Amino acid sequence: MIITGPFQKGQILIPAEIKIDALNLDGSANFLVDTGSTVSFINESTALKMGIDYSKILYRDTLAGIGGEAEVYEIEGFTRLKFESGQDTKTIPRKNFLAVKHSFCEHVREDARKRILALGGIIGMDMIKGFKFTTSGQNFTLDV
Amino acid sequence: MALKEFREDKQYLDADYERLKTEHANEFVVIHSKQVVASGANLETVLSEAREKIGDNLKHSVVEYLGTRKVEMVV
Repeated sequence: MIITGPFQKGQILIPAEIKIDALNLDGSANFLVDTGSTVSFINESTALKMGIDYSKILYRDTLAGIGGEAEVYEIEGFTRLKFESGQDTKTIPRKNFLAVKHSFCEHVREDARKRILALGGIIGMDMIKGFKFTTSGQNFTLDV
Repeated sequence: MALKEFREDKQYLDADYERLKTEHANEFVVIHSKQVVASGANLETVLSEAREKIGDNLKHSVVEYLGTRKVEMVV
């Protein structure tokens, strides 16, 4: 399925519906397509609005990023991301998908922290490498 | 259906972004059914307030931070 669109404030954002089998939770979020991230994940604002309880999922590791570190949690079983384009839909199941909880360095300003917290999720290279992804001018094409 | 509503709420935010940013400067907002249902400076407080108002619909609502300072994102 091909998803096309314009950059939004210089970013590529893809809306997706999320279903987490093991936790019986669902929700929707905009995922930032980020070739600088090696992994894909659900970010903190999305985790909180969906009702993900970090204490009930598996702490896996610490992820290093610009501005600080983040605790990485693994969601057992399948997390399904549903994308839409016109009348078409495609659901991509991802096993042991990740959810992130941030801890910022002191020097990171309050407004930058809030912008990062508000990101819905990231589609990183672990998923992008399975897609065909091109940009042209102010538009992108993502073949999922 | 849920994703369609999410996209419509995001379109509402994008179309009225400047006005909403003025009204809710440097705040998190939760948008559901093309309305701001909660806003404020603390994400968890805003989400709690939104959950009280719209219940389970929160999970398909749009959550955004309307910062007034231009920040280039490097994530």
